[in-house]
Amino acid sequence: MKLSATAQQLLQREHRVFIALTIVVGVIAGLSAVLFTLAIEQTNRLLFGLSPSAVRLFLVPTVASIGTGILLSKVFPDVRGSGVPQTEAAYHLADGFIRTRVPFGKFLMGVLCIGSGHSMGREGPSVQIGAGLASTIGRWVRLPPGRVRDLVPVGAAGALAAAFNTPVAAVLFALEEIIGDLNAPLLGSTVVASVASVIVERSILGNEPLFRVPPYRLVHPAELFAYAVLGVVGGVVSLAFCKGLLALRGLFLRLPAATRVIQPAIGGVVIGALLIYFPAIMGVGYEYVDEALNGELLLRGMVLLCALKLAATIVSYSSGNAGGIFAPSLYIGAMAGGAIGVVVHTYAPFPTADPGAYALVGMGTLFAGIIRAPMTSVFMVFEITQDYQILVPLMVANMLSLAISRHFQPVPVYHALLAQDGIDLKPAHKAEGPAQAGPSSTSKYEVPTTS
Amino acid sequence: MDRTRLRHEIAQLAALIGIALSVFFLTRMFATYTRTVRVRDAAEWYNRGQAALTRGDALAATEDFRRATARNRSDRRYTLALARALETSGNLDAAERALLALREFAPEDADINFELAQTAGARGDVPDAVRYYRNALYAPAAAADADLRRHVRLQLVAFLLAHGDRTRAQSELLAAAADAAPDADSAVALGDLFSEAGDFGRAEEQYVRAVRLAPQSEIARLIPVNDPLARRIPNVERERRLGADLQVVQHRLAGCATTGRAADAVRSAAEQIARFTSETALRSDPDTLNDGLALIYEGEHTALEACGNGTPIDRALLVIGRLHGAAVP
Repeated sequence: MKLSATAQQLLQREHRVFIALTIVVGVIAGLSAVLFTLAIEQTNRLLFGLSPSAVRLFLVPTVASIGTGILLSKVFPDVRGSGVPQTEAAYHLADGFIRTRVPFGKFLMGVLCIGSGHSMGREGPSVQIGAGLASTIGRWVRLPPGRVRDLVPVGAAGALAAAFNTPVAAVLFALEEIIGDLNAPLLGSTVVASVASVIVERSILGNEPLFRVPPYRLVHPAELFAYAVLGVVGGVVSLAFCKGLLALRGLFLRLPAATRVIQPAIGGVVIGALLIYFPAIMGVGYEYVDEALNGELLLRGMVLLCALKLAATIVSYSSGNAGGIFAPSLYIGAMAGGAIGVVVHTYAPFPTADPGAYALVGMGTLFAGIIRAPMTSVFMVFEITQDYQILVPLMVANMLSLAISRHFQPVPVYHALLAQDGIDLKPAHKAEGPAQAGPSSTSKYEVPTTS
Repeated sequence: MDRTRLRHEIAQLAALIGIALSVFFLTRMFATYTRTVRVRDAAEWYNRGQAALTRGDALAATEDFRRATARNRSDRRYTLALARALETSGNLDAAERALLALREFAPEDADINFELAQTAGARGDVPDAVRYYRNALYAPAAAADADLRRHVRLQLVAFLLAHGDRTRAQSELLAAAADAAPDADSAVALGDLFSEAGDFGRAEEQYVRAVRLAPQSEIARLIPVNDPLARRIPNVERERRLGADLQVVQHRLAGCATTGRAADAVRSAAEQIARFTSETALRSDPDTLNDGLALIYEGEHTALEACGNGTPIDRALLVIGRLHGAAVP
């Protein structure tokens, strides 16, 4: 009886510590995401200047990738790519164990790779940085392994909330993608971390939305068909992206291990060459997404940027640079959607919304098709626009895109990327649901390097 | 043991909070620096856009202003410049969207409403353009800034006249005349607009006002050297001036191509002057001078009604007629 009371007491104290840590982790993850964003911007400004010459556009990614290639091979081998699959693997297979050097290495490599012009996003790395810091903090305060594991999605949600300024979408992403269960008992913790993170982020950067989006709505019921077409196109483009990414990455992985050190530089050369002619594909590229959302781009430009960004992201990612596919999927989606919007707006026999509305839906559609997180996508668009009106077309397009992507590429891209590294997430993911996850007796092991 | 652990946990949490606070202030400093760089870059892009506009490259200007806007969204000058550049390059929809987005946050901003009026006008949307012009006209900034108010009102009048709405243009012109700036250029501009609106009497009044307001203005300078009834000039000069003025009117009437009743009036005036010049010896006696001057005024007035505003010398001849007591026919 006395023993049971003591155990109860200990559990309660552990719970209180965990709650306190949730807030602290949310704040620190949020700060890391803000710092990461600012560091990328300043690095980019420093390396390229205000209006770079063609030589500089070519040399910066090439030279930077030679440096990051060495660092990624010799010092931080576990920080290549997005960071989301690695975080998922750490959560499901390693009790949330992420080496302390990972968040710091990811920060440095992400800043250098994205800042030097690689066509990659900052959100995936932010997730890994947030999760890595959470894991490190959890271990430092000597939480039991199960609790360290629980802190991982908390850190991920906090970082994503700050990176996107979308707290609800961040919570959903942590549940939908990292944990893989929308009913996970960690809902409360992720919400707390997400809110703490967003408060910190807004107190530093202000409450400015990521994009300026005019109020869009469904103008005519027949427009739903146009959005359905957008969903189909979005599905096809998502599929092309996933297949292309996996194919080229497979090719790079088949090259001799000794070439690993120069693989990022190969990507750097290709990106440098592309940047000379199309600087709009540089880095995160939200400036151009914003233009597409406001209907400021022309049809030809959007089609071209959609194709080029897709190709550039595949090259940047496959060659082993550090950066995510969140932002590129939004970019490609906005361009594809915007292009379809222009066609619909010009030729449809019924009144339609501006092309910007299609760009917005396209953004969510590609996100749903590539990342396979449809609920996150819907809420993210809602949080960006603060408007319910566009949600119905978005859901229609999302579902179609998801269905097509899932049909032709049954394994989600993050899981397929892990599989290429010899990590099979699926059985663990299904057998050991997070609801049942407790302190694990399995030894902590490092997730194999994913590149 | 338990207490030690508790103390240890509290110390760890305190350390984490300390780290978080330090990183917070560091990040805030970094954010402030980044914002400063962004603002500086935005200003640089804005200047480049202005330079591109000056050399007539609206597309390059649009790109530059876009970059300025992306880096500093809070400075509405950049969005306004972007909208103007988009309008110049013919991308009216995008210009309007940019302005409407800006208007969301400042619905009573005179500049934004004025630009929106121009965009709507360029699109040919008269009701929207008039609505935005009026919004600009009655915006708090326009109420406080007389120059802005006058400029907007004159633009509105010009727009209404261009779209054939003379009635509303005349009522706005009356308001404009009551609020007119005390300078000759404004008076001439008002006079021109009155004449376009068909109110020729008020048009001439504005020309006379222009001469009185600015003796150094172009019209005012033309009067003393063209007035045949000017004081202290030799008779030979009076005859020369009358002859020259009659030639100016004849030239103006000859170039005034019109149809219908106006054409008849122009033809009749031209014939009267032709008869006068052929039948009357141009002497400096008061009757000849007065009759000649009356014909000049009538001819100019007829041309004004039939063919709109003429050159400064035509305006000067109208003013000379009015100054010597000619009544509006």
